[in-house]
Parts: sequence; C-alpha cells; structure tokens
Amino acid sequence: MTSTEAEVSRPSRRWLSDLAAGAFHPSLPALLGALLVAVVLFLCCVALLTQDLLAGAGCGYFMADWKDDYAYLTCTVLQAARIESPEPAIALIGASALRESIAGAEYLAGLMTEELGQNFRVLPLTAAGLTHWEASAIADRIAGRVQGVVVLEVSPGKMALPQGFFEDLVRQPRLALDAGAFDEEAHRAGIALPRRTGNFFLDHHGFFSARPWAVLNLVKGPVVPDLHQARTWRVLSEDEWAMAEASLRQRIGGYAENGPRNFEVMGRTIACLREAGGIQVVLLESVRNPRADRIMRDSPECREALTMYEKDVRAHAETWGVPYLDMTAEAELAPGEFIDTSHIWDTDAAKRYTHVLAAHLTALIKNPHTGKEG
Amino acid sequence: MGFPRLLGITLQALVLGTLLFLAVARLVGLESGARIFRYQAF
Repeated sequence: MTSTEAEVSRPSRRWLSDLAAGAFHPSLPALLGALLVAVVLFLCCVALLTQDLLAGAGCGYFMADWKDDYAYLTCTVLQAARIESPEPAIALIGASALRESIAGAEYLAGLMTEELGQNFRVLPLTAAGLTHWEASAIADRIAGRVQGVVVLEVSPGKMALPQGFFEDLVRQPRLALDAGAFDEEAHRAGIALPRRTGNFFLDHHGFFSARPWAVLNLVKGPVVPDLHQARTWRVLSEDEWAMAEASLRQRIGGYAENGPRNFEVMGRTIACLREAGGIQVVLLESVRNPRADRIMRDSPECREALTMYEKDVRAHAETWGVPYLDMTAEAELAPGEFIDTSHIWDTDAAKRYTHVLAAHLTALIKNPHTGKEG
Repeated sequence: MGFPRLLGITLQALVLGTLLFLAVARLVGLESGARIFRYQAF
C-alpha cells in the first residue's frame, strides 16, 4: 500500500470501527433508543391499525400465511361493510366445508351471471370451524351493505356446539370484528364481554398478536389466499378416520341440549339480515361425506340426534320462511370425493356442487317474493 | 460523539426496538392465548 492509500483508508477504517462500536456495543443511548422505537411502533399500531386500514388494504397484508382464513375473512367482511355496492351479491357465510364445496367465487358468479344475465359478486365469507355466533357478527356487519342473497350454512355439528365454546370465542375472538349482534348474543348468554377501549388495535390485540410476523408482508408483499386448502391435506388414515368419527359423534351428542338455543341465535341472525332489507336469506345444509353420514346413522344415539336436527332445521326454515337447501344427494357427492368427514377435495365434485347451488339460487332470485324456489 | 457512532447506535436502537416490540407482542399473544385457528378433523 502506498502512503497516499494508507492516508485514505485510515479515516474510512476508523469511520467503520466507530459505526461498529455504536451498532454492536451495548450502551445506555442504544437501550433508550430501542425502548423509544418500541413505544413508537406501539403508538403507530394504535393510531394506524384501524378498521378502515384493514378494509382498504389488501387482505394478504394481514394474513400470517395463505391458510390464515380468519384474517382473510375479517378483511373481506370489513371491505364488504365499507363499500355499498349496487351490484347484487351472493354472500356465503359458513365453515370450511362450505369453503371447499364451492369451486370458486368467480366460478359461482359466472354461473349466476350466465343464468340471470346480470353481474353478481360472490363473497366467500368462510373460515375453518366458523360458528353461528361468528356468523351473527358477520351478518350484522354486512346487513344493509350487501344486496342480494345471504347463504347461511347450518350443520348438526354447528347446532350442537355448547355454550362453553361461545365463552371461549368471546374471550379469544378469532375475527377482528366489532358487531353489536355478537355482543348482544354474549349478553343474552350471560357472558361478560372483555373491557373495550374503543381503539380497534387495543380491542383486537389478540388478533394482531397472534400474527406479529405478518408485518414482514410489508417487505415480502401480500400473502395470496387460497380458498381450497383441502387439496393440500393428506388423506386420513383409518385410525384418524375413527378419531374423526368419534369427534363428530361426541359433538353431535350435545345436540339435544344445545340445539334449541343455537337455532334461536340463527333466527336472530336471519331477523337482523331481513330488517336491513334487500336480502334473501337461504339456509344451506353443510356437505357431509356419505361415509360419515352412514357411520353416524349406524349409531343409535347419533341417529336420534340427527333425526331431531333434521326435523328442527326444517321447522326452523318454515318458521322463518326461508328456503332450506340440502344438496349432498342432488350433487351426487361420493365418499371418494371427500378428504375427510366433510371436506370435498375433488375439483369436479366442487364444480358439480356449485352448479347445483347456482341453479337453486337462480330459481330463488327469479321468484323473490315467494321465498321459495320456482 | 461522532456521526458514525451515532449512526451505529441508531441502527442498534432500530433493530432492537423492532425486535423488542415484536417479542412483547408475541408474549402478550401467548399470555392471552391468542393463536391462529387451524382446522383439525379430529
């Protein structure tokens, strides 16, 4: 190295060693600075993470991964609740069985448009294990904002859910939605609501703290959701099938005790949608693998609960004057087209089911005043 | 305190502050039982 080069490199080396000393050595200023940064980030969240941001930004920014359907559902509901679109909509509110049964929102929208000659938007408001209590919150948010048809999924498993499940949902909500109907249901059930501050981030801190790494989406780009998760699941082994059946039987076993109370919740959800106007409500029976259905009917206790449920759901639909669709047989769904007790994984089967649903919805829309299919 | 040292301290504060915020958020989430729900057939 020449003497001139040495003179040039010495200051830059010193500059770098000073930078490294500041960056890597613990110091009081760095500690205070770190605390300040954390506080500023917290205040930014309090000020910026609002319902409007979730509704306005892409859902993918708030999802932990492509399977994070509760984040996707939260954003989709907030979007639907914010924009009052004149375009008629088909809102599908239900659990993952419904999500997997529909070949795609665009596919269903295309079929409806083809049949009725007008554009439809399909809102897939579905998430794994979505309960009727959460459905009431969704319905409350979209009522008055969506015009068209709201499909509410029902199933014996859902209608058999115990109140303890609702208590857990009130304590640890999976959706970040403020909905009067949900609070009202908690009040009716005698469940104390968590303390509210009126700030969206603070009131739903559980939603955000469950997915802190979603902040990386700002750098990586938004997650692309996929509403067909079952295709990535593996087929259940026979042992797992036995466990799934036992779990189903156990849940349905609680129907006699919990069913009437749960149907009352469903009734209030229908009333809420009706009061808002411009909405036709349809009850849609969740798809069930014929194999699971047969196994349940082979068990005397389960058969009794299922028979009771089938009678109740029809009576409920009659009382509220809403159509009740049970399309598993009509769509000719076979056990091999399911990956487990209730999720379709075969694309053709999902298309078949979507066609049948579209046909029923088309008939209902053509005869809106009767509340019955043409 | 020279500029390079100040820059180093600022970088350290930014990185540690962000990690501290995320760690506290995760801790609050764990403490309150917040989690992302995943479907299980059984």
